[in-house]
Amino acid sequence: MRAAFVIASLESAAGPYPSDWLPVAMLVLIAVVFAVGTLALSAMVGRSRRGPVKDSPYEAGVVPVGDARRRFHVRYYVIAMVFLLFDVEVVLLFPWAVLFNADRSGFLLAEMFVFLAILAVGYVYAWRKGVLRFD
Amino acid sequence: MSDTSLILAIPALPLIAAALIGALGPRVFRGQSHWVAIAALVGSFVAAVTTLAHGHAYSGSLYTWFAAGSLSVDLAWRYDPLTAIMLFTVTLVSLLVVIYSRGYMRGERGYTRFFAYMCLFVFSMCTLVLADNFAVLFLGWEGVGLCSYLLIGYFYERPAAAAAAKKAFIVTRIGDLGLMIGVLLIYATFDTLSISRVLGRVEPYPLGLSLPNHTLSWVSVLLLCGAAGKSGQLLLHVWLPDAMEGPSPVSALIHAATMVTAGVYLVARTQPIFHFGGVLPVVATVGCATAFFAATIAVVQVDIKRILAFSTISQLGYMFLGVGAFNVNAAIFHLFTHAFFKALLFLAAGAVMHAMADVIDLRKMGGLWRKLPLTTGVFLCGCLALAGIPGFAGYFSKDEIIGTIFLQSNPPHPAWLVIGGAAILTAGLTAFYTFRLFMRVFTGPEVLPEETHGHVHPAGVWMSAPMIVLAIGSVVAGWFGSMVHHVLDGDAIGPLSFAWPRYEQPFEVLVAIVTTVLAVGGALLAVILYGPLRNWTLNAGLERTFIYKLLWNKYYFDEIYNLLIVRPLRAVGRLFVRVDDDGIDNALVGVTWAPRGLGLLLQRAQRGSLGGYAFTFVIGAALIGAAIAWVKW
Amino acid sequence: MNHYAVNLVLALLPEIALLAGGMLIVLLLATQSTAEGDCATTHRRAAWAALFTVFAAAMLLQLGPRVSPDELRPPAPQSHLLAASQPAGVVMLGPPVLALDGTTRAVRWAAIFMGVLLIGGNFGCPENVTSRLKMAGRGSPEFFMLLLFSLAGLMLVASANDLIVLFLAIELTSLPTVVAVVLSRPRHGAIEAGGKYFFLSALSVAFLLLGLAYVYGATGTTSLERITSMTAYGWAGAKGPIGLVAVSLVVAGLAFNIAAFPYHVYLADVYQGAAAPVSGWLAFVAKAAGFVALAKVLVAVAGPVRMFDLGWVGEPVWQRFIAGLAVATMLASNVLALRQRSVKRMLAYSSVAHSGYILVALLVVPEPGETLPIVAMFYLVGYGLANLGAFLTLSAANPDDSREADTFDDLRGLARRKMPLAVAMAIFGFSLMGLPITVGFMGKVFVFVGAYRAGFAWLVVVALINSAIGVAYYLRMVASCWLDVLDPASDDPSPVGRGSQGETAAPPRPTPSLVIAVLAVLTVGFGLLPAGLFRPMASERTVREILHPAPPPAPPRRPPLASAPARP
Repeated sequence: MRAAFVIASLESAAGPYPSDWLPVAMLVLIAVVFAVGTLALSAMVGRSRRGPVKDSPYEAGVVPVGDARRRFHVRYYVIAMVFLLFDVEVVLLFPWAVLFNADRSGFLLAEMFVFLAILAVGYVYAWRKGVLRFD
Repeated sequence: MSDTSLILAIPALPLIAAALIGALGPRVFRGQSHWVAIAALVGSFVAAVTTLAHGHAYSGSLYTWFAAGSLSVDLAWRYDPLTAIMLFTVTLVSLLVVIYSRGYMRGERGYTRFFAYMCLFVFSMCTLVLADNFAVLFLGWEGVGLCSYLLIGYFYERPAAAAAAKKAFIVTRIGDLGLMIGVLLIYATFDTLSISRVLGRVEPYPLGLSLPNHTLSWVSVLLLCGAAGKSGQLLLHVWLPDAMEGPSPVSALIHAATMVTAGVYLVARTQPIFHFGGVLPVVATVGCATAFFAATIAVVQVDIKRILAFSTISQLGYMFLGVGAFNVNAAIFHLFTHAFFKALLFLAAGAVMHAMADVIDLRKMGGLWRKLPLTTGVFLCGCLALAGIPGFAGYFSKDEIIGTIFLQSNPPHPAWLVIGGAAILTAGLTAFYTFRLFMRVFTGPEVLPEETHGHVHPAGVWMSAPMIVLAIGSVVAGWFGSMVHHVLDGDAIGPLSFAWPRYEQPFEVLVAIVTTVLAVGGALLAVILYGPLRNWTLNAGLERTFIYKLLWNKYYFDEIYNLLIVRPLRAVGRLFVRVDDDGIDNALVGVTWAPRGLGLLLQRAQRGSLGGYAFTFVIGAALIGAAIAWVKW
Repeated sequence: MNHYAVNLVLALLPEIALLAGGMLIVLLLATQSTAEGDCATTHRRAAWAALFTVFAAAMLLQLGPRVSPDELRPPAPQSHLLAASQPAGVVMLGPPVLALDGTTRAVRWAAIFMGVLLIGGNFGCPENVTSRLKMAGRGSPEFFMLLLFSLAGLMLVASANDLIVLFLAIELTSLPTVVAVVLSRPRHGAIEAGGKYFFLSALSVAFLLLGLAYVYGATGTTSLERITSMTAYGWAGAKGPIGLVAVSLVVAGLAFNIAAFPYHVYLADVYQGAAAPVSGWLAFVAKAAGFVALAKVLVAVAGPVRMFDLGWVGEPVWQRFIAGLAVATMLASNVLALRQRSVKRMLAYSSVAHSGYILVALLVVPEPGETLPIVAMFYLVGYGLANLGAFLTLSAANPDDSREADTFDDLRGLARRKMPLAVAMAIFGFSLMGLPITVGFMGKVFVFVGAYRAGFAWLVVVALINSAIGVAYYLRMVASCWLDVLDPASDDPSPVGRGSQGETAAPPRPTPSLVIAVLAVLTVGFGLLPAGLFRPMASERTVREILHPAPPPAPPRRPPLASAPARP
């Protein structure tokens, strides 16, 4: 068992990766190109039409009222944050569903229920703390 | 009572007393705390005398404290001639000083605290001299250092006292570092920290048969660092004069009679290592130089206690000289007599301060013998002993040391001749400054400082009695030389495993005569200059000379250290704080060589301090990468 | 395959217990709404629940089933490459995500041990606390659930054998600390400290993640076991460019957790803003997690490699770098600590200095079955004890009872006002200094002796010099308490009266006297009997190895000393 596993390791030891700075440089390059490139691309490709309506914050047509730098109720932030948390955590359901197979159904199902239980506890806590109340 | 419990009682009693006073003092004992301390120290003294009279040398172990690897540290003690003499001296002087303190410290704030510290000190000192393990010795060594720190800073509301305490601690700490590394090196070399075992490994060589061993040389030099720090030897002596900010009993006990001799004790204890390391001549040179330089400084100072402090440094130099000149017995004998007369001088100086409303500037007083006859009498005894006037304690022990120097080789090596000459000259200087002090303070027309408002507190019986005992000791201690040597040679309690080579106690007639003449001459010169010629204008002219200024400023050691060590350290610290606290902004301002555009760009990005931290993080990652690439792991 | 899942659960029972206990406390808190309810009761219930949970975890750790490492190997996914050569009936097993070795054992016990003390440090809740004060965080029972999560994270770090598990465990350890810092309101600067801490921790986590990604990119696996065996078989990646970038980024990310130079800049702000138990928590849990993870990654990517039972193979090539990092850390922090006016900031920089000493401990040759040398854990726990004690004492040493002591001046006269606290402070100070008969001294002895034997004598000397510098500022802290002690026996009769007046005002949080006393006793107790701390953390063999070593086989003596006959 151990021997097989060692062989598997050796296999990847002689991997196809060049042992010089090329991969590092490539990654840096990709990062820069991606960051600068997307901005540059949209600036180049997109047509720039300027006008009072286009320059307003919401292009959907909602007309902003009042000063943008006014104080919001603190609950706004709390609710936004709670929404974000649960939103992101629930995303885990998708890869789980993709990997789900009948071979390990019991194990995977139990895992997901544990995960959902943890989420539920957090939800109950937030709820009882009055986070969701907006009055 | 068995030997073991008797010996262990010597350190244990003061420890118990310290704990009792510390815990119950402020609530229960209050103004009577001194009784606890006195009772404990009487017990310790009796135990020390009993073991000295009836005991025999042996070593034992309480329990194994810890072991790490092959390093095993036992709480082991070793009772042998050297320890016996040290214990006798320490317990006797500390007992007398504590009795004196009852009178001197009366009414001071923190009365109980004082006695708790004193008992803690005696415990640490006894641990130090009893230890048979370098780790335990180091424990005692740090313990006495801590007590010294606490007691120098006793009047902590005085900034000078607080600063002196800190200075003492830091300077001795430099020496301690040497000691610590030396002890580690001992462990590395011998694979044990037991003093007995280490000496057992070194000692079997007859004197003079082996060549200097390099490791042992390094060990010796490092140990010497520690010893020099503790005993105020040259280059590390700057803390001792400042330590006089502590109460006078503290100066008498810790900074004259006992703690400062710990360095001498350490070198004496490990003398075989020094010998085979070939470092003994260095010890002698350091001692001689210290003795001479400190004596010259003492000649011009005007603060009574500081004169005595420089005198202590000088006398400790003699002791180092004695050990360095292969005559440990003479050095320990001098340590023994010095404890009496120097403790006496400090106590008497304390009595003067007590009477003069804490003024210690000798220019402000004179002719005190009329007001303080008893103090004058005991001070004179101390002066005669310190000056080495024949018949008094200091004469015998000092003469032995100086005599030894000229026996080093036949015919004497030129270097030894120079050292011997300096030592003899120092004897003359010693007599001169001692009597200068005495004449200016006690004789002549009566002058009282303004602070006293004409009223002089005489010393009470609590203060007088210990001074009288010590005065008698200062006169007669020298006559017991043969007894001390008897003990040190191992004839009384037997050597444990190792005895120093016996010297026929040297008495070089020629050397003795020269020394005596110089000492008496120096004393007479001082008597004449500051007696009949008191108002002679010579002094006024002297103060403008270069030598006088040099001596007055103690060879500018403090200033040099300040310039070379303290200031650069402060500057580095300030630099670090600036880089750290003000974030990257100031650092960028400092980095003027960086391209200006880049600098501006970065500065714009890093305005807030959070940004500054984040920037530091990014730079840090680059630094770590560079470091890894540089050291190739 | 379901055996594998069961084994995983069995192996992680203590961690699961801690997490479950934390969830329980969340539910408990949920039953109390903000508006009404007695805060003190909730706080006490949460504290008891946390204590019970930790004891349960300890019981599970002691009595729970032992799972052998091979039982933790998951079945490998079908490999098409190897399928042909695979004999029938042999199930291929992949590398395990958990490795339960000596370090795991040590860290788990240390976490439980410190967990009890940390809970104790926050046990008291002021009576008559209003809900407004509770909102302000004075009696925040959330502390306990966060602490339990964090402790579970630390334990998981110690058992992780996979980069992903390791990363998640580190996050589980450090995220709760961020919340706890913010919960330290209304302390001046808590919000600011929490904010800074959060952003910087996010930044460093980005470094760490990128570094781990590079490790994966260079090796093609996230299993530490596989990476280790690749290193053993001479994989040069760690010495090449990718390895360089990978390790630099990982070290940079973890240096934040252990607050090594130059990632120490944030610490002073955070310590100053956080409550005392939180500072004690940060100093132990976050640091321990960082060191364990650092040791794991460095050993995996660069050796030395423990080949089955053959002992250590190869040189740990990262030693020189870690030694340099230790020197920089010790020097920078000590110089900074010397110049602080605030005791808490001083303690923060001293905490960095202790990180430097523990970096020295990384160079100690580990016993078999350890990643992080046991002496490093000993040092960490010893430091954690004294540090927590010092912070708790500070929080109780308030001069006017309206806030915690912060500057050195605030400590003045503590011996007069509260003598036992001053004694405790002296003990903690001496332990941090490394003076004998304290656990701090023993820690330094073990670490320095170990490093010396590993061949780093120069580093030991540097560390000793630094401990000598350290004495200066710790002594200032200890001495401040004893200044201005007025003696009742002296002429001034007032001090006792003044002291008792100060105590009449209601303290904001009850003094955790019991815990301070326990910490002081342990600090001295482990200093006298270090075996007491080693015994639960290490196996019998290791303890024997460290504490009762066989006398070394007569080392070669120096010629002039050895040749002479012993004196009869």
